Amino acid sequence: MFENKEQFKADFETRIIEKYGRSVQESHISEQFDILGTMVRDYASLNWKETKEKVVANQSKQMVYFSMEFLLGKMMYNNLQNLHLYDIAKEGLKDFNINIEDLMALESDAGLGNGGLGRLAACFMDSLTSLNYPAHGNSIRYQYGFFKQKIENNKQIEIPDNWLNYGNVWEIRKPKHAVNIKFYGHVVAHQLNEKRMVFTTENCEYVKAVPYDMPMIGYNGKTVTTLRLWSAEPAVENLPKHKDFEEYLRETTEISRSLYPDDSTQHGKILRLKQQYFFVSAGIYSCIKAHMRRYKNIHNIHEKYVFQLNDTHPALAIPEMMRILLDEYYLEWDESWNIVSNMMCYTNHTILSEALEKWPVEYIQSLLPRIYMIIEEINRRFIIYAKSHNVSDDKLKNMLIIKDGLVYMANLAIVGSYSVNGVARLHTKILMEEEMVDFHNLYPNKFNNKTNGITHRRWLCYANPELKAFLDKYLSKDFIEDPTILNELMNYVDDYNIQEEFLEVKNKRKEILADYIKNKTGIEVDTNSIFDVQVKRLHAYKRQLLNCLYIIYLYQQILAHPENDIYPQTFIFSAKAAPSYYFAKKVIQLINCMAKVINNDPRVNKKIKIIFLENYEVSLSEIVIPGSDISEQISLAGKEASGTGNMKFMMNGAITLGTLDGANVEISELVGTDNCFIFGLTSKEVKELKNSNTYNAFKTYMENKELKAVVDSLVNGTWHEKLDEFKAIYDELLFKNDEYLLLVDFNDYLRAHKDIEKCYQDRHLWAKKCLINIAKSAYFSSDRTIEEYVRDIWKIKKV
Amino acid sequence: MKQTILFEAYQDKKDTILIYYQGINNTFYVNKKPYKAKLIKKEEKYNTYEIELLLDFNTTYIIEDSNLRKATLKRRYIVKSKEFDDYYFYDKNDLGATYSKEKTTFKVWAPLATEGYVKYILDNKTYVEALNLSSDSGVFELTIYKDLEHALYHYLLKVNDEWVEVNDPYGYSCNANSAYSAIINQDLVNIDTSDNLLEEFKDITKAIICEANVRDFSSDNSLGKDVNNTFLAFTKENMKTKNQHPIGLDYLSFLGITHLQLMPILDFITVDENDKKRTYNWGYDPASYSCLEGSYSTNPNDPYVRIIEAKQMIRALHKRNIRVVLDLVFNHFYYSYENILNQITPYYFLQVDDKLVLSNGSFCGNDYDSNTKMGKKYLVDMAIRYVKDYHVDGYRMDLMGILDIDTIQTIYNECKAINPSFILYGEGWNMPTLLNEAKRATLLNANKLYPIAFFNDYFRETVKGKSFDRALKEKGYVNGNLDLAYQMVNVMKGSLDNYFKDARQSINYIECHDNATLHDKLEISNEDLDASTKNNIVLMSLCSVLFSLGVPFLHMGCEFHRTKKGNTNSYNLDDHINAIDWKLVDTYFENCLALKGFIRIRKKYNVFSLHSKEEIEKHFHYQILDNQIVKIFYKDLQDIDGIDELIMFINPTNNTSHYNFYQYFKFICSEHGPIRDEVYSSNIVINPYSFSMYIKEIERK
Repeated sequence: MFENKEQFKADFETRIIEKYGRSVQESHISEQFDILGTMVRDYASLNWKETKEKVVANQSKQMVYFSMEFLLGKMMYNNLQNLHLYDIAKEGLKDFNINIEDLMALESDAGLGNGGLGRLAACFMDSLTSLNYPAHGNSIRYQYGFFKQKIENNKQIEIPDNWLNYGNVWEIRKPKHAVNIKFYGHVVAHQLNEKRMVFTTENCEYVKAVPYDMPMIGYNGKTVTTLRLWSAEPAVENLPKHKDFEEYLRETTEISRSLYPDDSTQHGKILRLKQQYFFVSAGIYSCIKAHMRRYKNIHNIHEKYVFQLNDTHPALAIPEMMRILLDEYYLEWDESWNIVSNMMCYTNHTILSEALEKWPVEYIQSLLPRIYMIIEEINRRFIIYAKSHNVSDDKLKNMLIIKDGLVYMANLAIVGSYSVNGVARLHTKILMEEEMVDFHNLYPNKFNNKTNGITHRRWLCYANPELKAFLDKYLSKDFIEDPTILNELMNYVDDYNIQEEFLEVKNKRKEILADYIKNKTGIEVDTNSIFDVQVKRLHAYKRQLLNCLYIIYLYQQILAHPENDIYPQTFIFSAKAAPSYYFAKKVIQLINCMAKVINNDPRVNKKIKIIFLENYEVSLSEIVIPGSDISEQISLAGKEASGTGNMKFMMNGAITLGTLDGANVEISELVGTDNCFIFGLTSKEVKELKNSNTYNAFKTYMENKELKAVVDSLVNGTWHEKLDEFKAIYDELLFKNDEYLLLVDFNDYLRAHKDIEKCYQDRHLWAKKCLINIAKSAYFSSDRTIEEYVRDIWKIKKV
Repeated sequence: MKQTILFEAYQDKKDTILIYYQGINNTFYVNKKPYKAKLIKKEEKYNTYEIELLLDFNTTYIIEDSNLRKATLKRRYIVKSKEFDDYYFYDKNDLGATYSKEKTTFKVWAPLATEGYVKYILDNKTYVEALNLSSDSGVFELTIYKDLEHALYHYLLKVNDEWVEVNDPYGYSCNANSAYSAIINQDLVNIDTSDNLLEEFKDITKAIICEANVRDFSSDNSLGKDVNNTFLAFTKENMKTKNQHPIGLDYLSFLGITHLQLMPILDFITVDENDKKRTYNWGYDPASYSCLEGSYSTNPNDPYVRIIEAKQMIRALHKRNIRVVLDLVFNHFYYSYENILNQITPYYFLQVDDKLVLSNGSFCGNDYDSNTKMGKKYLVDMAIRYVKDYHVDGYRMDLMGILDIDTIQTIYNECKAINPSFILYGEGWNMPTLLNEAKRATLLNANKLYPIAFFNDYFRETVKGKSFDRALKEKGYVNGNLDLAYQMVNVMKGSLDNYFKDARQSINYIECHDNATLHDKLEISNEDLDASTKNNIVLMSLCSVLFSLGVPFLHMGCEFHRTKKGNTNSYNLDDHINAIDWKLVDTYFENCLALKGFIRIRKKYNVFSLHSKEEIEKHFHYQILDNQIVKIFYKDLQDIDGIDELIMFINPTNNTSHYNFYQYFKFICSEHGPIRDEVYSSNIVINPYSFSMYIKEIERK
């Protein structure tokens, strides 16, 4: 433990010698990092232990957050700050001539996630522990996170993300808590005695799930909860009889090898299913073991545990829990169902039907035969329940859990949970009134909204210390523990000097970003230009392409009317496309090609620059967002469940340019339509347009000369010498009828951009708007979100 | 000087005297009248002469040669003639010794006897009193006015001019090793059977028969040393294994069988009743048909004990609602010539050709001739006696094909009139006897013998292949010969397209006392499979028996892997080979539970008792799925069982298969037993080496 610099130095030195057998001076930077991390982790261990003991003593109810992704990013800075150790460590290391920044740069992002869903889970862990709730995370310890992106030849190349290269200093391997997971096999009904029989799975393959625990250190470090990550290893005591060991080893370790394996093949799909069952079964087993050890009574487990299922990836938790209660504790169906359905809560993140998980019956039946049997029974009882509540056959068809040879995981999750929540008000409204209206009518009390949030500690306080320092000056107290304090900023938004100070802070961050850009890409950008930023996953519904169309428009305008004075704009993109997503990868290529052309064209490159930052990850986000002016949130209304990037920008003093989609709606309500730039069709208008079947993209394209010119540039050699290089994108717009209505929103988007251009030049007006955004961003702290979950759904108590 | 030369006279035909004479003699005197004799054969030691003379039955003929040497005419092959049969038919029901305190009346049918005595031992004193010929039908009679309650007796009869001393063919009991017949006071062997808990039983397809051997049941001492090898072993209750599982009578109740078939309990030769452990024998060696085996009683020397103990055994079973079937070995005697009936009336009761060569279709030396009037009467009388006096509920006829159709039908009708629940079945193998094939009670004539049932060898071999020595490697469908899939369907359907017009006649079995046990068979035919898989095959075979149309027949212990250590004919092997090892109930208790479950399900669903061809055709369907998996399904069962459908899958392969019902069916049974929880599935996995059963319930609107 170190209370001061001297203790820190002594401890540090001793540990280096003990572990690496060298003096500090001789030690390697990776060794220094390892020791620093270990010290922090050990420092937290005492509270880790105490948190566990308090939970036992108070017989607290605990929440376990099941998520396939935890996009943690780097933990060192976050943990040091939460523990108030940063300064001590920094100073101490300085005495050894070690720059703490260098050490921290060595840490790999724990990129165990893809986008918003994974980052939400990580933010939640931070809020849960900072708010002192006994809540833990459960996921897979992927050996390789989401791929590392490189841009070569303007195209995305995927490289394995070897984040464990220097090891994960935060984790502790706990082999004593290993669980054997069963796959395949046959379900056999055995007689136990004259009254009872039990289903067992025989001739199955075992995979050993070994947990690695990471401490989730809350603000002040008082509460430390656990993120348990499971790793797949061969079960050497139980090797399959008819399989070669090498093959078995390969198949086993594959399970925790990488996030999002290629699911375009059957092998990939089955692997994903294995991953899902793997961490769900291990996680549940863990909880039950702990519960039985403590209480020796299975019947009250739903009073002591609640499981939050992040999307449908962990939905197998429902039949798995049933399986354990039925087959291992011999409970009857009704009691088991009562327990399970009072333990499970489901968060829905999408209404895009192609994103709703469906598994072919054969996959589940072959991989998890007993689970499949249970799902069939759940389906059967659901049908009886629905029919007894006068659900018509037509409606019932769309609610079935098993239909046409597919298992609909969302339906399973809804039927088996007592709470189903959407992640933004609009999203939840769409769920309740449209996509899941029949379920809502059948289960009126299940559906509720929990608008997403982000942890203001990481995303404001630690990522943007300059802004924090600025805010601390004027707010009555430190808002790090109570983000609602930020609201006080409203009292100062009209203050000219404060606006000036803010602009300096923002400029400082823009310079840091510009340096970063120069460093990474060699391109110099003008910090006076509008930093217009779109950083998120690359997906058609997020319409990075619309952004591109605007840039092309600008480009063509400048060329056509060089005399017009267009205010300089720097367009910053960062995004990864799923490896098998052809269209998205094409858009990335387009952006990079556009960047090449525009950045090197002296006619325009003083006015427009395009930057594509490769390998979008949490750490990159922490640099880009604070230095942004405009936050592009331009998904087609009704498609983005919530978005969380939008909240980060808002909190860091960037203004939203967006549609009324997801949480944008709530943002615009909080700040007022004056203080954000809203454009485009509303969700209702989109629906009406789609339903009317009158939209003809080709017609729209033909009728708008400027738009036509923009779209034509895709195939006339402007961006690539091969004319058909971007034909796929062109076809999406015109011949596939522009599914995401880019051409419809184009004009309004243009108009919004013009507004921005004008407004930006009035610096103080702009600053005021930014300040209002910051002030109102308190609502979007995940602390608020968590308190809502606790109050409405989990009903757990602080430790 | 008296010279002993060969001089014998026989009557084979009605009108011929056959003389074997050592010497030449052309004229013989028959009852002092001279007749010319025709020389018909010359042998080295003697010549054969024939005299044509119409002979009658009640005259004694003395033949003399020219030197007044005498030979009495012995009736020989003539006893097989229709005339003899008709002439001496005695149809009354009073043969044997009828006891009362004041007197005992003896009646014995001895058409060839000229004189007779009753020799009896009472209070250690021996008495001999003369019998009198009391009827033209050859019955001798005597009434003794004493209380002969514990007397032992023999008949002394001069048959064909020679004295024989025999037990009474109608004797109710005897002492050890049937040395003597015993007089039985019926009042002393009355057991109160009013406490039986027998439920109504009408249809043989509702029976679940289990074959057991009295000695094997108790010879491992688990039921107590005191009842080792006895009838009384069946009366012991609350006997348990180490793991507290039921054995003995409790085990039979536990299983839920309806009928217990006991291997021969009628008197047999091959075990010394005074030293019963000296040899082992199943008992297919009849000493007599009218007494019980003494080695199964606790005191073979007291003739009353075996009767009482047998009745106690039957009563104990009846109290558990288990009916009793006796194994009747009415097809031969252990001693071809020295058995009681043959001594009294040589050749009459045996099948014999005109060359006096005994028919040996039984391969035991002789074949009973039921195609004679008294031969038939004797069997019918004995069959009735056990039903009346012992309250038995059915018979299993050993080698029924030796006997004639008419006798079997008469037995059935008479016994059924006494006991409405009576069932009759037997082995219908076509043995090479002298009886006209069209008259034999064999499988070939099954149609003429309806409703009597037959052991179905086609079923047995289709399901698991042959079990006798040379063919142990052969497989049936359930243990891996997939070419037999279609045949499997046939046998599940009551073999209607092969043997029978009604499933009531099919005794479906996969193991019995003969040949290798199923466990031992699988060791050879499926030696490549592991123990767990072979166990599945045992269970699947039991499912085939219980869930096929016809009558299910089980062999005691099949479910707990009864083994005879590879022996395929253990009739005379040691106790340690044949004994039921009750400890195996612990080892295989899950199998026992499974079998119990199968039995319960068979009883629950009436569809399994469908028997008429018409009814079956209405409801029975089948499909042979991929990998030669047999699917059998019954439809339109609303009126029969209050359900829509019942479906069974039999998968004897290593392949996992899938089946989609497209609607919810209830899973009710697997090879490991009944499914107790409510389990419904619509898309199922058919496991390797499995049997599964599903029903579709009627949807309530």
